[in-house]
Amino acid sequence: MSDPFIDEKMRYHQILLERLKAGGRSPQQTAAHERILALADGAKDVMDWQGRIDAESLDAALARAMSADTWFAKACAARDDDNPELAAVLEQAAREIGAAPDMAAVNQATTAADERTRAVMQRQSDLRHAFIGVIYAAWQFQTRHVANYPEREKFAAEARAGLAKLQAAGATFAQLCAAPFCRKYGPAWADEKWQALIATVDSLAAARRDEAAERQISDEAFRVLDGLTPQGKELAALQAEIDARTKRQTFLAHRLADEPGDYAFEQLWEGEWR
Amino acid sequence: MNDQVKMMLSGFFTAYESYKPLLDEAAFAPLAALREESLAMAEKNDDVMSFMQAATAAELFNRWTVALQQAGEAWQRQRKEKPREITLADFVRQYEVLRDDVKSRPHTERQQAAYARFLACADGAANPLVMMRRAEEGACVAAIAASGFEDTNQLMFDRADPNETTQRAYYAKCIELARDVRANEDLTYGAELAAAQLQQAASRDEGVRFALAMLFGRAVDFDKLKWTIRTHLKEAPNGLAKAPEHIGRFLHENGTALLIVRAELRHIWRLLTEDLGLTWEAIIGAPRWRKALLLGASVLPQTDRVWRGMTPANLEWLRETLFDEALSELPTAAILQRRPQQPFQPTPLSEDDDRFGLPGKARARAEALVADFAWSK
Repeated sequence: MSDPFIDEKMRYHQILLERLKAGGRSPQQTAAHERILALADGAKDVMDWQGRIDAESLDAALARAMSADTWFAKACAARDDDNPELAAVLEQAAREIGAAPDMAAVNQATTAADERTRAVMQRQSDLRHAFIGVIYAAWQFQTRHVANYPEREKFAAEARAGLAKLQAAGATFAQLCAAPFCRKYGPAWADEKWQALIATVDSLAAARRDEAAERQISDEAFRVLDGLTPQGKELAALQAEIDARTKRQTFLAHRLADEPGDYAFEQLWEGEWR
Repeated sequence: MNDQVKMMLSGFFTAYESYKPLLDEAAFAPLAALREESLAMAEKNDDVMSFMQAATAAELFNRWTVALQQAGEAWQRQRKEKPREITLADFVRQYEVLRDDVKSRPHTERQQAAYARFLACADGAANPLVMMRRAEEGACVAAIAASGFEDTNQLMFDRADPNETTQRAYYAKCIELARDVRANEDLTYGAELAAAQLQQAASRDEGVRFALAMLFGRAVDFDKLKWTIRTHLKEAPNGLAKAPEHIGRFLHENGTALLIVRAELRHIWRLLTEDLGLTWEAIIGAPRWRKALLLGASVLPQTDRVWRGMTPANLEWLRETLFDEALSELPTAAILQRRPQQPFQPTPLSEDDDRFGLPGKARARAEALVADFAWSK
């Protein structure tokens, strides 16, 4: 093998092979380069070698492998992100594209893989959206006073609507609290916090009006205000003094330095508040 | 042609230029027709949204993808049927077309440099094979894609508010990935993983913003109820029971609401501290949470470093409302009698915005502030 072209071409494939092997996320290209290099064995000259490469359509295989390995790299990322459902679809795409006999089949496999991937991502995104909606509704619910029934009921209804969406998709809130593709998008909590949230969500269905609590806070409010009525004029004067110090304002803030830090504020406008 | 539309089509047009010298007329005709159609569509739809609608309806991008794949196959066929040696000049020319396209766009310094390093591999090379071997030895081919990714992320990093640490950390990670990349798949893997992690971190941030908005909104409600009671209590000088029925009921309802809202502020504070692990110092010490509390909204499309929002004095109002009043041990009657140091300063009404041209003023000032920065161009 004294042909300088062979040496040049071998070096080219060897460099690529070493680099792709080191990365570990390009299995089909690695295999194609290995095969191309193996075919150099015993080749008379570079034309002979290229003839062997053409006979096995390895240039086309290499082009397919580049596309397949992109899907494989995405699959590795999905797996390392604890998303095995997405990883499985992406791995299937890598396999099918790599095995496609020609470019038409590659196109077909790519289109099908695109559709399957989009469907999984859309389903996960819809579930996640409903899941986060339930969390926010539960937070609103749990921070409302027990005597604030209208608002508690409003947020309980919001949460129930979200739970119904999850149910329609064949999932439960508790399941999704354990599923990384949802859980990682919520607060970074330990299991016990998630369990407490699940209990809150479970309690939404049983939310009832608490008339005793309503009466208690109503009585307390009556006592507080009734006791203050002799000072009505002083309180009105106090509020007038506060109003005199109240303006409508809007500011422009900016951070032009490159590192994090305080914003500089500039008042854009000030006007009367009523 | 709209700049964003031009960017969308640029990759297709560059590929068109690459195939022009390689394909015979018949094989090249579909690309030429698509280019004409794309130009006509861009001419007819001057804004990006209407162009996207028209392109989607006509499946323009899919058809480009298919046509380019077919062009690739035609090129392979031509090579087999009419083998001709590609000269180094032909080979270099294909990359010069791509380089020229990159050069025509701003903020592409790294990718231009990567093309220059790649094209320099042709100096003294006997043929394309030698050039490619040299290019691979210097990892110049992977660097072309990676440097484009780096340029994009460096620009986004520079344009991003330094206090928006989640976004900035993502751009910084992408820049780091691009600098270390040895194979395209490494970049794909790293970018996909970083994007998923960004979405997760952004979603967690959104949870904090949601809770802060609950806190701020309830504090404003608390203020309004105090205002209503202080303003109207004088209408019942002899006690609620002796006041006209509608006055007595009105005050009683607002008093009840005040107690309820006070209790709810305590609940929200518990959510923020016990469930989300925050403290007042952590909230007020983080500029991005201060920005969220002040309802900061970007005024320029290219950057969130400049924003419009409430007066920063409202942060002191919030502190006082929470710690000197709602969360304190002070009886509610004493809170109503208390003179606050910092009253709440509301934002302009939408008619104030219109009457005084406030959005335009904000934009003009913001543009002046960022005018000298390369990233704003």
